[in-house]
Amino acid sequence: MNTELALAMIKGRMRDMRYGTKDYTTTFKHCVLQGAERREIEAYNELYFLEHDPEDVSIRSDFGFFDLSFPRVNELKYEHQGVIQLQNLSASVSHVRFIQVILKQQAKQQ
Amino acid sequence: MSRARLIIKEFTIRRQGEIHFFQVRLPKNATHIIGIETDALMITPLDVSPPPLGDGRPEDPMPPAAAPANRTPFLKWNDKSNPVIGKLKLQSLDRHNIFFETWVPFVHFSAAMPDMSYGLFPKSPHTLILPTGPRTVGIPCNNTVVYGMYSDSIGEERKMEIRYKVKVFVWVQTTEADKGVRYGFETKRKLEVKL
Repeated sequence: MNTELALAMIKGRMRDMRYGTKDYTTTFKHCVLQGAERREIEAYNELYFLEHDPEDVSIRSDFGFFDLSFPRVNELKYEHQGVIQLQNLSASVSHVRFIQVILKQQAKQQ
Repeated sequence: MSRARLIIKEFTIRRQGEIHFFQVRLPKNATHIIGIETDALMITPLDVSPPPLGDGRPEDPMPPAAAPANRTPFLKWNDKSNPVIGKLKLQSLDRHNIFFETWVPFVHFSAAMPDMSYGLFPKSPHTLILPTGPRTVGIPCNNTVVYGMYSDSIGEERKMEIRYKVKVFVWVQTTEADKGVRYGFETKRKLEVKL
């Protein structure tokens, strides 16, 4: 996954949910995880798209899973929502970069 | 005019704690997802009583000859709750988050003596507590794909590799006529031969 692909996916995904380009905004979120740190992100009304392939990090969410070191999964998901759990599997600092999609207030009224 | 159709997705879980992502393909004329039903078929033979969970305490030093006898009643089912094998989640592309989530249960058929602790005819509330049949969801669908995620829990609980098949039944409502698909040759008139 790279930034261009993530932005194209976001556009198509939001179009499927009948949101125009003016109904949401995108921001960049760069998480810095200390060694063996666990972190939770509450994203009930948002979408998080992974912008790269983070190593030594386990990411679990309501309908997503990304862990390059986990062998018992058949696919990895780059789209996350709901409660997102980040866990740094290494003892050193790891970085996770997301593109965060936030709905605007006008979109709720539609 | 509409007609319900049943789409079946089947996959096999082989490893402990496996996470399986899948897609259910819907027909192009599907308008609504009416209900979801699940089923499971165990391939690996399963003991009736799960192995005791290790709590870190040392083993009982009592010699085997003096160990207390097993006083468990012969005809008693020892499971305390309805056995489940994993969690299923479904997501539609038209929606933000998941639209269906359930613990997948299974009925434990055993070749041992039947469970008579609840009488001769009443069904056991521990093994058959969930009613069978599809669970109503009723959401519109504009796409022909439903994403699914299944995560194994019985392998994690018993700390062993358990192999089983999971079936997901998706009931959809289509725009077909009540009598099913009408092909072109059924509606066209017979060819008239002009002399």
